[in-house]
Amino acid sequence: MVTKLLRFFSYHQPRRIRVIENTLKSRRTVATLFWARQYRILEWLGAYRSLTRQDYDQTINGLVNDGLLMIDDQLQAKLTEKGASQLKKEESNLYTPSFYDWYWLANTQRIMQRLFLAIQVVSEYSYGQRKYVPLAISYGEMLAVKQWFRQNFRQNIVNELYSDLHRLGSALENEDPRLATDLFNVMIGHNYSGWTVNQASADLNIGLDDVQFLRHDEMLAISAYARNFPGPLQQLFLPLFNESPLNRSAQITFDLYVKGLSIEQIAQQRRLKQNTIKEHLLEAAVLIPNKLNWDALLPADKRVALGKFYQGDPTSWEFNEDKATFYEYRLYQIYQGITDGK
Amino acid sequence: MENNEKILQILKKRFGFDKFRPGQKETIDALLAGKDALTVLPTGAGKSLLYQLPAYLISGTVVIVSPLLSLMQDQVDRLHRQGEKRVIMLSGQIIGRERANILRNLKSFKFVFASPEMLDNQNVLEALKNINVDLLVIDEAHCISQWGPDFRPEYLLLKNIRQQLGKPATLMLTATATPRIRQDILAKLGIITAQQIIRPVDRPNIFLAVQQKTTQKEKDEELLQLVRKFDGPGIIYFASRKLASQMAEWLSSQTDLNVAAYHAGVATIERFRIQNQFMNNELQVICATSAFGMGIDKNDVRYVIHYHLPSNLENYLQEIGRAGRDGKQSLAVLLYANGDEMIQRQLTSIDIPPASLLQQIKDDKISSTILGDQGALFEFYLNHQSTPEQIITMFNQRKSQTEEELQRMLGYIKADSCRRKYLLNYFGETEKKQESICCDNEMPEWKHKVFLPARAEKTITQKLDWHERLKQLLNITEN
Repeated sequence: MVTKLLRFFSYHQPRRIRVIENTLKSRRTVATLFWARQYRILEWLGAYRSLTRQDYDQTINGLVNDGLLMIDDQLQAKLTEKGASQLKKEESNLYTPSFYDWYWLANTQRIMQRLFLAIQVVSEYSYGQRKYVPLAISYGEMLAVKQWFRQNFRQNIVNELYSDLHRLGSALENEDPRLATDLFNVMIGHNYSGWTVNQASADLNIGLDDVQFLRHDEMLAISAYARNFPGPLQQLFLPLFNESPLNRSAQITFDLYVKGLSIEQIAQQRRLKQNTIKEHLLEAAVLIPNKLNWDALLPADKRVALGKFYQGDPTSWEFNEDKATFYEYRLYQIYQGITDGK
Repeated sequence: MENNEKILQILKKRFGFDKFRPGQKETIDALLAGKDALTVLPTGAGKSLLYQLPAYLISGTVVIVSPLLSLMQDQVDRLHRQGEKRVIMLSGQIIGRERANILRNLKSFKFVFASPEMLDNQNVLEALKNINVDLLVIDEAHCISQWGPDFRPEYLLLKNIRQQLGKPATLMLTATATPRIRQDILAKLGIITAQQIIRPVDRPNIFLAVQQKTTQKEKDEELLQLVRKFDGPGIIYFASRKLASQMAEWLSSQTDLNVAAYHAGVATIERFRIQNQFMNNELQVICATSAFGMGIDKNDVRYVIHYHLPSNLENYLQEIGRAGRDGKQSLAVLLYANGDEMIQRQLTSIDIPPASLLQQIKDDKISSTILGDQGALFEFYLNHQSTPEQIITMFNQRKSQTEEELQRMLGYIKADSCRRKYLLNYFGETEKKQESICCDNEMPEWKHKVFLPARAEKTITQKLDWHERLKQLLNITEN
């Protein structure tokens, strides 16, 4: 068995429990993204969107009560010795994701809703069944699937979807057979209601919570696949894909910045506050650091000056308003965090 | 009646029945004649048919009011299963442009489901006024009565809503209502002249038993024994989600049965799967919470076991009513250990805030969130012209009433004569048909004498590799 959420904590590094929660739920703020990167869990962004505050807090309390985790008064948690040895014992059983590099590509909850309903609709259609209970998903996703089906059902949708899925399945099987097995057993179709989480866990011999992470992996995989291969899946999901790890507004700012506009100019042109623009650039610094011109963003002499004051592990620094603005401080922190991480 | 033949045709064609069940025809006739009806039918006696069938004989739309999303979803699912697609559920999840879109096209739906709060929304009400609402259905109508255990203040809005809709023929539906509550329903909705169609609440094919134990551990042992002996399909009710989940796991490990937990903490898609698997006999036992409405439409549920007592006899009757809808011998067992009623007291208790605090909330000086889960309830009253003092009096009354209901529930547990008589007496029915197999007090060695019909063959889902599963999903036959 796998102890819930234990894998997100470390014995050496105190970690803010809210950052881990916000990462899993994809509540994006620059602070969350920054810390997630420092904890090396950035690619888990959005891996557990359905996690509730109550459930999360109960789990954390459970870990503390079992002596596996300790929390300080800053709400930072560290594994205890017992926790660390427990994690070590479980490590080989933990599910290792294959496609989390694509974490930014799509909201996997929406992908999953669309996918399940779409497969169900085509499945019932392939059996000529019109009387059935469709999966109850959000109204918007339902309409999207309806429209997709209407556009496609005349054009041999069953066979096209089959070959699309078959190609995907073969690719998944190569990567990790559990991905393919679970994906097709969890789908809902004619006279088949699919695996529950418990059934998947028992059959694949992975922890109950890891089933969630496995499913997230499958949805990222299917998204990455559909992004590259034209077909019914691409049609179904295309509107849900993000173009980059940045959110839409940050991406616009970033594009203008790369063109050479200053923060002031971008703020003026976009009718946004300068602080908002700075937030966008910080987000870019965390998420796509290699695409930034650091010498322009934070000139070398500034870095040297800051380096005299801020030393050691960037996660342990404290902001001092006499030395720099918070924007510069955070940029330098990100910069140092990234160079340390390499 | 001239359209009798037409009615029977629809009954056959749409619903697959040759004849009506008791109470159905009278209700449908009344509604088609434009009259209002209050119909009390026991759980599982075919209440949805009462509005679904007339819908096909009237030109306008049917609006169904229901207190819980899950109950609405069950009804919507049922209609889908019959191939009816002109169904919409107006829920808080549909917002913005989507909602505007639906409201604009409301005419295209035959069945519109909504909660009372939703109907109170001005946009929704206006949209409904613009279409032809020919039938208003008030499901779980007992929720309007302050005398009933499931009182929902929003139901009080329905009188006005009905008037605004031009007083369409109205069907009030409930499975459990004492005579006093029936009167209250009619009074609160202002439909005194409605035709009342009341069928006895008794379900003679359900054997009633109580097992008193001293410890929880003994209860567990008893539960295991029962589940092993009567092999299902069965439903076990618990007072907490956590326990329902834990016991589902425990029972799976102790038996060769497939057991799953089913409650509001289980994700929607999971519930969908579990429902279907239970219907399909892939699962034999469901561990559920009482608070959660479950419209599992399964006819051959053989037993309902309560691990914890419900808070009142209304709920108990409703929950055991899920057993034996096919009319065959079934079983309702309530497990009780001393002090179990404390759990219910805790669950149903409401902290009544002081009048000064309520006044401050009324004056918008403090947010109602300070009152916790109950905040919305108190706010509702404050927003609907109640003074803090009135509210406090009302809640105090409610409190003593809840306790009284719990005492009646305990009375059932401790009864040393016929339990069915006790139950029927509570619902104002005195006559009981003498059944040979009735309750444990009349048949102490019931465990050896009550025989339940054999369970349908356990469906074992074939294990397939992903290639085969995919082919099966899409009905692909070539290699």
